[in-house]
Amino acid sequence: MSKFTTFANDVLDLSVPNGSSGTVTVGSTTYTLPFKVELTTTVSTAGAAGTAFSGGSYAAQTLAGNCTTAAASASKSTTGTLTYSNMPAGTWADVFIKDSTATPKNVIFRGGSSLAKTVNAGDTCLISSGNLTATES
Amino acid sequence: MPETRIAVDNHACAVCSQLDNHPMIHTDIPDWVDLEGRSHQFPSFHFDCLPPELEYRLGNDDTHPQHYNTRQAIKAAREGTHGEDLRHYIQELADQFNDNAYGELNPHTFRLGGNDDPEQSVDDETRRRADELQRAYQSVRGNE
Repeated sequence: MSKFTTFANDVLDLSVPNGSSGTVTVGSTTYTLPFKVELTTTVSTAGAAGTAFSGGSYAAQTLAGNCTTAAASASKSTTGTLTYSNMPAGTWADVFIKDSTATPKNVIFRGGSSLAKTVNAGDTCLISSGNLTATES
Repeated sequence: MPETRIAVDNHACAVCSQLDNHPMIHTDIPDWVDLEGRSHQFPSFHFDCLPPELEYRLGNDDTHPQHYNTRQAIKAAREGTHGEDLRHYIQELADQFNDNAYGELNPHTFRLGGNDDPEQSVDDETRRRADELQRAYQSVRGNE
């Protein structure tokens, strides 16, 4: 079984939403917008998110306003640059998306090989426009 | 007490190829191609080496404090502030224009439309203070 493209696009618009408020419900779980992108020092797996950076001016950056183009052909990419300035020192390994509830619920992750970017205090990390892409198959 | 910093940068700048401990901008671009046609995986750049096409993506409308701070650091680097001076400048920007987003934004320096509002923007006072900081750093460097 495979998803029809129109449904796959809907799933992507749900997983990578542009909205800044409201909720979406998947099954019995309600997720709160905006969704945010965390940078992690370890690689995420399906069972556990990587360890998010902590310190400096690091904060997960919102997807709100950065995903203005709806999913198409079972793919959706960011339309704005996510900027993390004044980073703490660490190794940028991975990225995952979470919701905005008080205890955030994890949504999707990049995984795979580590980005392995050595980050010094004061550095900036960029996820440039169009470079965070989610796909469905 | 002097600060001890361990030089851990192990990424050469994709533009100038220098391997040093100057502050850098790291990207997750899988295949950035430089002017000589060389492909770079997840390239890093010195602040003053960031290619125009990437700087452009930061926007110029001051709608996001983290973008704003990075642009200020780029500007300072291009005007001669590097190394630890640039780190201190970035830290002072962060201290004064706290962009620990979403609930910790400084209401005195950033105009907020509400928590998590993507329309948060930098006001004139913030810009003025950033310019003052930069001039102060340039003055210090000029006296070295």
